[in-house]
Amino acid sequence: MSRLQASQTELTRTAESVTEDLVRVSSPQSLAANAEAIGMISNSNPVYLRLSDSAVLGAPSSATGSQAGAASLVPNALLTGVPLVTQPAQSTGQGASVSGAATTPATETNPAAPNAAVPAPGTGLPTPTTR
Amino acid sequence: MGVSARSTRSGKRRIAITVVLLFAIVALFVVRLVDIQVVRADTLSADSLGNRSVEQPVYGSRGDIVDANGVVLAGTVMRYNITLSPRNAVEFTRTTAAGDQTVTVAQAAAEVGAITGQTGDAILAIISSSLAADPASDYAIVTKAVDVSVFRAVDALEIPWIYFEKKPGRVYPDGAVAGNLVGFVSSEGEAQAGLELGQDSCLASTNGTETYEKGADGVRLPQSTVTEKAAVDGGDVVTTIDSDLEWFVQQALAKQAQATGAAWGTVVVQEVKTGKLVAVADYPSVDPNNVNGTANPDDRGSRAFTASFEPGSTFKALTAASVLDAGKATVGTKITAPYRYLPGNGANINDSSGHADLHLTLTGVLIESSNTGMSKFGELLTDQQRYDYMTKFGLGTATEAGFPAEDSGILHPYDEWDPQTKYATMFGQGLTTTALQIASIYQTIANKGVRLPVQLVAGCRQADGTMTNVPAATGTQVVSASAANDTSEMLEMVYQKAWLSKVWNIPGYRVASKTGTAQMPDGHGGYTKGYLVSVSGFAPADDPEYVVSVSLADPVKLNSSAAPAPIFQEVMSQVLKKYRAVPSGAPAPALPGTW
Repeated sequence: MSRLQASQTELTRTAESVTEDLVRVSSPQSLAANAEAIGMISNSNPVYLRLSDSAVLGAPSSATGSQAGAASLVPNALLTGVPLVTQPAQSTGQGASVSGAATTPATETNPAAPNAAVPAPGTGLPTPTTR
Repeated sequence: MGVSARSTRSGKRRIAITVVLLFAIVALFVVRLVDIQVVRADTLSADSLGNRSVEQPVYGSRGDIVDANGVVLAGTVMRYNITLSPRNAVEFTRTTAAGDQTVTVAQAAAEVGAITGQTGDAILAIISSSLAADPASDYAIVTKAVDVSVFRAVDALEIPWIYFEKKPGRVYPDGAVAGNLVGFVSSEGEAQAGLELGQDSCLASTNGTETYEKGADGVRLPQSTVTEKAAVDGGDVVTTIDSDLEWFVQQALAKQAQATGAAWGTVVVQEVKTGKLVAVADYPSVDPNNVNGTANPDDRGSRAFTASFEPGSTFKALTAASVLDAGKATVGTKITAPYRYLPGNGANINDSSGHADLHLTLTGVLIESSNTGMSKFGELLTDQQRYDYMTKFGLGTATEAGFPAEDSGILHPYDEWDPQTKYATMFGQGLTTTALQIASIYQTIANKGVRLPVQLVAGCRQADGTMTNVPAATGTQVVSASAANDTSEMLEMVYQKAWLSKVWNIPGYRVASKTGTAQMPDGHGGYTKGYLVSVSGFAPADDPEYVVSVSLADPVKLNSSAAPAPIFQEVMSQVLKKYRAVPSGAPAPALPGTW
């Protein structure tokens, strides 16, 4: 009983610590930096293809990346020393889960990328085009 | 017989004496017992417990501040203070797989220091200085607020005279994203700024207490912990902010503000149909995780709420809507706008640059942003009428957002207006507004003339999931729907035809927008050389969804509304894309600007 209680306390601490690491790397600054590190650029020129009549709404143009090149101007002290997922850590002072995630960049970057700027399309609305 | 009787008598006396004595002794014991167990019980047990029991606070968890989608902007995490007992700091025996080994105090201090980032000597100094102050010292702090990994590493050293105190800490996972709004707490957990301060009554938790007993060697006795008073957690503040958009807007604002050398800037994004603020960006801003990283205390809050300024020409939309609503003019009413206009009451009005007389309609006055033209329309209303419209649009009072230290702006009563102020208030000078109040004016025009309360906080979510302190969302009709619609269509002409039309163009959408360039007061009754330049507008104009209002103070490298226009374009595009606003079908109806 006492051993189980002790183990529960330990696991609760681990959960808190890992959650803390997760929300830190989920921050917009971290997502944007990671998305740009794998070559993604944001396109703030919205263009829609209406499926009902194949009409193109808006003026298509290639994405220049409105945020591209600009270093993060919105600081986050919590990210100091946290490596990009594409650049596995040599050694950092952050929690174990961060370096753990860094060992599998291929699976980690995929869920991170779409969140950078583009939310999932809603139903009944025009489908976004990407060029 | 006599003997027997005598002996019986003396026996009886002896028994009586014994009984009396017995009762006396029992009574003495009872009195003593009552004295100890009842009369002095509390003092005595407190005394005894005091020798071995330790009372410590149990911290309730301060509530989170979350965005509209539940993303945590401010949260509470468990941190640990590492403490030690100086009088018990002696060498001890550590049992390892390799056998028992003796660990000296210096060795233990060095081990702890290697984990906490202190030197072993620094920790030894803590021990010796507390012993110097009090030889029986049982408590000294080694370091405060370490996280779980440090706590575990130190705990694993199994040093018997090291103790830990749980202590909740505050983290802001998104850093400076919405840092201007969220605010921050002191290292002691006291609310200092922003929503942390303004919503403290919702967020604050109540601490409880617990006691445990420890033996003579200072080790906590198992099973001795008693909760005296349970802690109560605080509620969560649910904001209307979208953290992803907030980040984008802050980034776009900071980039352009730096490129144009602006002293500061704000961007407000508001939902037309709900009055909710989805983004309020400030530059410069604060990372609540690192408050001292923002040197100027004025940069640690939100100027969008707390700074008021003369809005300039964005304000002309309000005057135009008022004149239309009062039925004094239509979108096509013709006037002649000179460069300089002397209305005869002593005022002296001129446009920003010299020009020959222009034959303008009300629409044209907005496109050209003519002060003299606007004056000729504004004077169709009495001062009181215009003042009443301004107050109905929300000027002169702080918005309903309830942000700490929110500015109300300055709107002098109309009977105190001097001749120049009478005219200046028609085109956004001689009064001050916050960026929020300007956004609210455009929200009203975009929402068929119905002004909705400005909302930053959706409510306080209690532990059981119920929402309290939900703000009122009842709108007020400020101008008629047709006056609002006409104003909107004129602002679309401004968007299409004004000099910045190529800069702020968003293909596929109908947009209504207006620039402003206002002189900035120097604080001594005059004006500085700098300008506050701004762009406000909404889209899609055929079914307005979002207001975007951008202000830059004194952009020295580009001192005109060309400075904020790219931010307006970038932010509005992102907003339309993010919320999947359907592109406009039919083009805006063309309204003539000249005659």
